[in-house]
Amino acid sequence: MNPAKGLGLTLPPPGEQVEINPENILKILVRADGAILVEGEPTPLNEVRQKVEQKRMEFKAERGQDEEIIVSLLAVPDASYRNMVDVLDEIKLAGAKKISIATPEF
Amino acid sequence: MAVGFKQKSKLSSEIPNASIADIVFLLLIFFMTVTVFKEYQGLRVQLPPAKATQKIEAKRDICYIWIDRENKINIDDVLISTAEIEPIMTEKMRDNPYLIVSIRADEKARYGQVAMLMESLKKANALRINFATLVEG
Repeated sequence: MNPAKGLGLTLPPPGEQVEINPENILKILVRADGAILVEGEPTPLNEVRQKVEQKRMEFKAERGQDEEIIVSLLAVPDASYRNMVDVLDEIKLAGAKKISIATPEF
Repeated sequence: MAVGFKQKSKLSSEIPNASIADIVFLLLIFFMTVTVFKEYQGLRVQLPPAKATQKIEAKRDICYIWIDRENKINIDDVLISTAEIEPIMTEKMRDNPYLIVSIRADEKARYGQVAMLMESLKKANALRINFATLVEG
């Protein structure tokens, strides 16, 4: 028996476009060469978790402990699936509650 | 001279159970040989590892979609094209609105193929997804 295991996520309903204040979003980009950019800054994979945790804590300190920053993960179509999963893994390990997988331009 | 005979019944009311064990074993062996567990073969994929891997508890509500490193897509052991994902998943969601889609993509698959799959799943209203991973660490 091979129990189903993995990283769970809930996609947004189709057609739903909600205006979100850019200050509430932490953007992470995965490029085709595997490079990771957290808020535009090149970041090695082993530092992604720490940066996400730090941003989460700063956000909570500013807005209140019940507030959560939205982590938006965008991977370009030519990136490898493994790279995307590695970054998503680090985001989940950082304790992020609101994760959005952004749609790339095909 | 009348002699009264009282015939004792020698019939026992107990059920003979000496062969019950034989019958039980025969039935057991029969069902062991004829029972087939439904298991999808899918495509040959190498799942990526992840530390935050969690088990999906609701096994009956899972639909498996495979994407191999050649970017072929397979739903329930049937190879399909990208355009067929939405109608197939729409029908599955109609049958089971609580469906969880387990995406079993090869770690070397192109992310663009997975992203297109997710867009089709959104249109089909299959919003609960799970990226299948191996447990790491």
